[in-house]
Amino acid sequence: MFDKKCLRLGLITMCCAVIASFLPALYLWLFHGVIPSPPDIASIAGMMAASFAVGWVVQPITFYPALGVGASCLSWTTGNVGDLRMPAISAAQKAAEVEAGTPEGNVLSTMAAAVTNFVTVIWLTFVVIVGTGLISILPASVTDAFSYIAPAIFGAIVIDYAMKNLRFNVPLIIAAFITYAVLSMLGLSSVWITLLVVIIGMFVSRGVFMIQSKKTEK
Amino acid sequence: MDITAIKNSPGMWIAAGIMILIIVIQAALFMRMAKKEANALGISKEKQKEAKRSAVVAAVGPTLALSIMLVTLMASLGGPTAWMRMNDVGSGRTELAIASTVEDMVTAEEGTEEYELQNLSYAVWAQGIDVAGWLIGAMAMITAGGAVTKTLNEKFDPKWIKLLMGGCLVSLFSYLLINQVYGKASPYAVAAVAGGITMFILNKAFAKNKRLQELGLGISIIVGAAVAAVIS
Repeated sequence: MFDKKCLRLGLITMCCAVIASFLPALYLWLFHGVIPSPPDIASIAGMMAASFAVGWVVQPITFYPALGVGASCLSWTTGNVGDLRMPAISAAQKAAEVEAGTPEGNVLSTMAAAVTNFVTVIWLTFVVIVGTGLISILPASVTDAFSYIAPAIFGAIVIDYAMKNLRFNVPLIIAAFITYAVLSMLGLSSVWITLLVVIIGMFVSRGVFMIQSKKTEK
Repeated sequence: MDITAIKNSPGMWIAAGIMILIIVIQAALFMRMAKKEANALGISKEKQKEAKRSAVVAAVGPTLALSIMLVTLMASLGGPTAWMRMNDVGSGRTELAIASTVEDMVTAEEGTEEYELQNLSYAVWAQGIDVAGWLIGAMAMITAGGAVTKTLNEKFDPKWIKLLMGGCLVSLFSYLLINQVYGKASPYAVAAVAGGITMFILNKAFAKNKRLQELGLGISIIVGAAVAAVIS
């Protein structure tokens, strides 16, 4: 029921966002009289679809099982799904001691995603208002450190998962590393690698689940 | 009217502001709904608060990291467009790439005001299409995903489906970790290792300290990034 409500609210708000995403373009047309010719718009659309369409479809489905309906709607409206929304969701689920994929987990992932949307809007609005001055007074050592935030987060989260459920999660982590190494040597693009890492992970977790339930039967 | 003035005109601020407004309203509505559902499921107010606090702490680091891209975009696309695109699903890196690809299609003479204006128009059209593509793709997949999960839960042991869903999260984070480290300069690996060790220590030595556990990810981020910056 909660999922259904989330889906309805998500579809309505995301449709509004689709319209809103064209407002700057429409403003330039209506108030400054500048617009690409229809064939040009078509070729822009073609160019975008050629470069990104696979991502538009594959990425949301890849992240779906981990996020659930509510958090998916929120996260795909604001982006930065892997490096911002997901860590916050996993931290929230850990703090409330609930599992991802359960009704409780989905409610908290929705809550956490909403919270992060507020955080990014507030901060980015602040930076836009105070302007570039703020960033330029930061020493280079601090701004350099910004680029190491992502690996630090993922290192911490992967260790956290490994510690939480050694027997189930460690095989998954190892499988992901191997899959990544093999596929990137084959030259696959990152969108496909992400999807395949998740799919192969599903088979690995199925295997581990079977082995462990056999053990408990004995 | 010169191009910088148009890029930062009130009209552009309003156009961008509507997207921000939608994002804020969406988050508020989902939050209200999730709160109601959490209460109905019997998740205590205290736990909800802890979860929200942890989400904020975990989001702060990555949000700060967006600042630099925002400032870069402000310089090339103007304040409103940068503000809008950093908040919506368009990522900064893509927006810059898009802006430079559509440049080739512009017909006006380079260096003129007409050229700049056309350029901006092409760029915002491309961005609009990109963002709409993400949203429409996500809507389709989320709708399909709900149906698939329902059939899975009916056909298989729900206990196993729960494990499977949780496992997806682990696989994704493993992917994101290796993607940050593989084939990159050593400070990235150092940040990952230092972040991981910090988390390990916090989990082992301070397992009973609830507050420290809540801040765990935030602390690991700071330690990891700081150690990497010092070493590099």
